[in-house]
Amino acid sequence: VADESLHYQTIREVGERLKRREISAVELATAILDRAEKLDGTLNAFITITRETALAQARSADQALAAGHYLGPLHGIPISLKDLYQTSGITTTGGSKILADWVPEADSTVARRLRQAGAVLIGKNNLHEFAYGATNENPHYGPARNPWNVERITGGSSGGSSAAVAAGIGYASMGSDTGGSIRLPAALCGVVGVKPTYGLVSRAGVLPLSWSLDHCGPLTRTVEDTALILNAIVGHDASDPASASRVTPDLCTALDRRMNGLRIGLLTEYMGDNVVPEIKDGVRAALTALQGQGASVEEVSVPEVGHRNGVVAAILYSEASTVHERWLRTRGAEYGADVLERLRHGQRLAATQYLRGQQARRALMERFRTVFTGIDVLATPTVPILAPTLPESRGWAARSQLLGFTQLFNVLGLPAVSVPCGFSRNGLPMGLQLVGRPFEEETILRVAHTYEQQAGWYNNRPAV
Amino acid sequence: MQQQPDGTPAQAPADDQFERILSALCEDIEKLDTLGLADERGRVIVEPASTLHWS
Repeated sequence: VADESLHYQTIREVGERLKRREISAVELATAILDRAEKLDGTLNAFITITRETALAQARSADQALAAGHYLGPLHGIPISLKDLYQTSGITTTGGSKILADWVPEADSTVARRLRQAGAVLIGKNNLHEFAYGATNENPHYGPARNPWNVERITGGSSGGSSAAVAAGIGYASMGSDTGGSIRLPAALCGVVGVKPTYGLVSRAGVLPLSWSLDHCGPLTRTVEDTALILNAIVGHDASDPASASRVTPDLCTALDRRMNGLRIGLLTEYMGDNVVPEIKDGVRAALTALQGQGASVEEVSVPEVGHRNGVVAAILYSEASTVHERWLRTRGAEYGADVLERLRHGQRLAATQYLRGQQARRALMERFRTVFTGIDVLATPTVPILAPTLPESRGWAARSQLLGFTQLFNVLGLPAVSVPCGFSRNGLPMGLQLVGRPFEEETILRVAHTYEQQAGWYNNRPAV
Repeated sequence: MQQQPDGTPAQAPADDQFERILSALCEDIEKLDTLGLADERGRVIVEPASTLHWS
């Protein structure tokens, strides 16, 4: 039953097979768990594989289906969670030594909503320690490795999530994104990753890094799969003070709507000399394809984006060091060197610097509100470089490059998706980032889906 | 070395690279002044204003 193609089917495809009972949830979970155990020695995408939990949940899914209780498109679908999401009775390490043995008593809101939608949890994914880094080089659990070339980084911090999804180990993984930690690994591993609007997806029960920049979102192989996951997890949650009170439409409904009249702006500041030419070509080709579907494309210049470094330095460093203040005092020696250095930097910033960052955030938001009166979607490369090797990725400059085009949209809280836009000559994936107005996930997903279906990059498979 | 209010050292001795990176971070923050933030008096927010009306 578990043929190789099963691993790479979409949620819709495999969900229909489950619904028709051509395959059982237990058979599907077993196939995915076997693949996880076979490949994880190479990819190191998981900190914990939850075989027993997965099989128990799969048995429940089969029983529910047999009794006529169909829970929806995620019924029986194997998924994983970045090991930052609290899971009742399952270790939640945050990729750290400090929490190596922590077993939460309750689920995060997202974990609970996915379980209630029928999803089957196959494991907890590797990540950069406490999500505070872009490489997923983890001193405690080892680096996650890129399925397209295991000598290359996955990007981070949701690197285990992107590696698992790209390698056909599960149909989705939930990541978190404080400066690009969903979109960056999605781009480097050739999958789809969404950072939703700030407030759309609850962060309750997810270990915080920077409360005004943290977002939760899925990584999947197709845009429709992303929409299916988002449909299950959006909605107000009183446990997250930033959670928005609004009704989100079914995000699958509009995916096939036409592009006519849609205005796309290409951000010129993010198409400069620091971008690898193949990536620029990939982005331009994607926009040409969308023009062919009826969208209009124009170049947009926003010189103020150059202030990204200052805003992020002020806000991210200050908030992260506040979150970790207690452990910095009592357990500082248990942090990895790179994360400890960043946290110590944050401790040296002044309140005035933090507030200056928040003032600048407001000014940038006003600027972008004006920009979005002339366009519906902003397009950029997701990352200016191809996946580097681990040694190439070390250091402050590399980190700044990896997150250079994604961090700003955490500051602004705008929805942003990374969708594959081709492969380099040496076989490494490239990503197109599409950004929308607040709560216009429907629009960016429609554009991403239209391009994805025309380009078909999701049919490529890494040789793992 | 900087000290906390109670007189204890704020952190382990910092090396040159640590200080260089910190200086770069502070310079980036200082540059935010060019956004005309003097007029931002009273308009500080602490979270992205996703609920602002966008046309």
